[in-house]
Amino acid sequence: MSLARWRQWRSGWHGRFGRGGLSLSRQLLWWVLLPQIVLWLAGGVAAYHFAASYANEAIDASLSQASRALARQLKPIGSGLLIDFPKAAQDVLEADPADRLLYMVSQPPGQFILGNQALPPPPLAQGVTLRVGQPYFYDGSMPLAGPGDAEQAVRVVALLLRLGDEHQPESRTLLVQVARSSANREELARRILVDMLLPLSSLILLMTLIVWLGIRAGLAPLKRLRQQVEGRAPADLAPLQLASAPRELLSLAGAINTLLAEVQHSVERQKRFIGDAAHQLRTPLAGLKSQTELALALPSASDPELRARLLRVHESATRSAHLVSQLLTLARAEPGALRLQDCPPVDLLALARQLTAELVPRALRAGLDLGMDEAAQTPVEVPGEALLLREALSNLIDNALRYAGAGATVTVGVQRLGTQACLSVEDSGPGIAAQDRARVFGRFVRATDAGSGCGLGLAIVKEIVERHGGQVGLEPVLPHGLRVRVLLPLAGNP
Amino acid sequence: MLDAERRCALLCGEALELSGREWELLQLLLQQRGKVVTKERIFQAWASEGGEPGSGNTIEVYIHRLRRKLEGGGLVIRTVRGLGYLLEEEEGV
Repeated sequence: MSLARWRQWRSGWHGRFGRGGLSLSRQLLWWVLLPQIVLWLAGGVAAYHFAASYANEAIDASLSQASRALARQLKPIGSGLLIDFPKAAQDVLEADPADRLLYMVSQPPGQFILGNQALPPPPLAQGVTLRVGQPYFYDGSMPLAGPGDAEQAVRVVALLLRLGDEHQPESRTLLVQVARSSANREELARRILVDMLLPLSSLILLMTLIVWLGIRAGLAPLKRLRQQVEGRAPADLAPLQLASAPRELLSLAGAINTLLAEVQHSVERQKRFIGDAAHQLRTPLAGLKSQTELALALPSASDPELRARLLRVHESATRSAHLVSQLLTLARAEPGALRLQDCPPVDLLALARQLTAELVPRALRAGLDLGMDEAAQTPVEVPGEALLLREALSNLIDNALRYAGAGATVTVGVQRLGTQACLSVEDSGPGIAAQDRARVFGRFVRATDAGSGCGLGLAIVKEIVERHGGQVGLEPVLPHGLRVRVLLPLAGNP
Repeated sequence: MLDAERRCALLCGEALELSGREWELLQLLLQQRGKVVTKERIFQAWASEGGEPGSGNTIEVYIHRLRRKLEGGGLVIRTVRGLGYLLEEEEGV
């Protein structure tokens, strides 16, 4: 997993559990699965009980049959009892050592007549009596292999008989008991349980998988919406595209789109206001400037004190006019709908040459040596808006001329660096302290009190360069000075 | 301040002997006085007069000659690194 993906995963995880509680898909999964699993389990338990009780009934029926068969062999003869119980039948009864049938015939109360074991007496509650001819089933425990052996659970049937001869009908009461080990019954129950548990649990797993897949598919449009919102630039206020989204999401996307439209509207209004305000300020400031110039030219303005005041007014009018024009530029440079791929390529070299040539006279007046580095001789083209790029470079050269100081050298350079165009303005002035270098790109931040700047120049440059998909950085020049480097993607390298 | 025509006349009055290319060059610098005249522009001007474009440092040679002839005339030709030349009035005149 790459680092970026890990971060995304981690932030997603954090988002799921850190702030917003359980995720929607998890909640859905729980709500769909939990009741289903509970119902399935309840159904399983009920089915097991039914199956077990039917099995018990079958076993009880076989016990009852055995007891009746035994009872039929008992014939009273006078005061004695003829027991026609062939050895073969006895062998059959006791044949299987794992599932032995034990029997006992006794004469209540407790007089043992016949049998291979002493069976536990029926646990009769008070007031309940055995009825003649009605088998009574109960659970008990006894040593199966013989006295002294460990007690084991058994299922017993007790059948009460009344026997008599022709003289004394029903004169004797006999109790026939047949017992069978419960191990066999438990084994049956265990097999029923296993046979039910296996398909049931695999069904639950399969159902979980299906439900989970279904939820994922159902929530996929939500993920798409999230990606659309996450993947956009902060200034991108275009409406979300969700053509095939479900109805619930469409209304959410609609609400977001309405909000985006409103934000965009208000941003535009604000931008227009700044632009209008700056524009409105420009005219009176120009008027103020020209009026002070006229006043300075008057013969009556020879009074040195008056002159000094007028000069100060003129200077601050000039500074304000500069600020206003910078504000206008910034308002124009603010991220709007600049689509780089639609822009015709701009030749940075021609632009730099033209601009530098225009600024040379001013540099000469200020005692600076402004020139160009002849690194590139063929056009260096970048996609972009020529006016804005020109403004950025003009700001950079302007800064150098303002702050490098008289006698300094300012050199403008344009060159290719791989797939990027590098535009640099280097001066041999005092430079900018390392701790201020990152700060000076902020608005209204100035690293020095010298000159008459307004602190917007580099902010404008940064804004314009970033709008063109480039970077701008400051680096020191040895022994002293500053180099501003602007990197822009070359045309034909999207 | 001197206008272009008088300056030209003055220079002619001082009997400046200028070759065709030097004349073109001075003409160009005077027209663009105080502004940068690029090397490309100079080559273009020479080419339009039917002359040979010349090799890489032809311009430097002519500028050097013109500077010597203009000495003391109140005008200097400044070199602008990487761009071209600029004619301006000498400071203090």
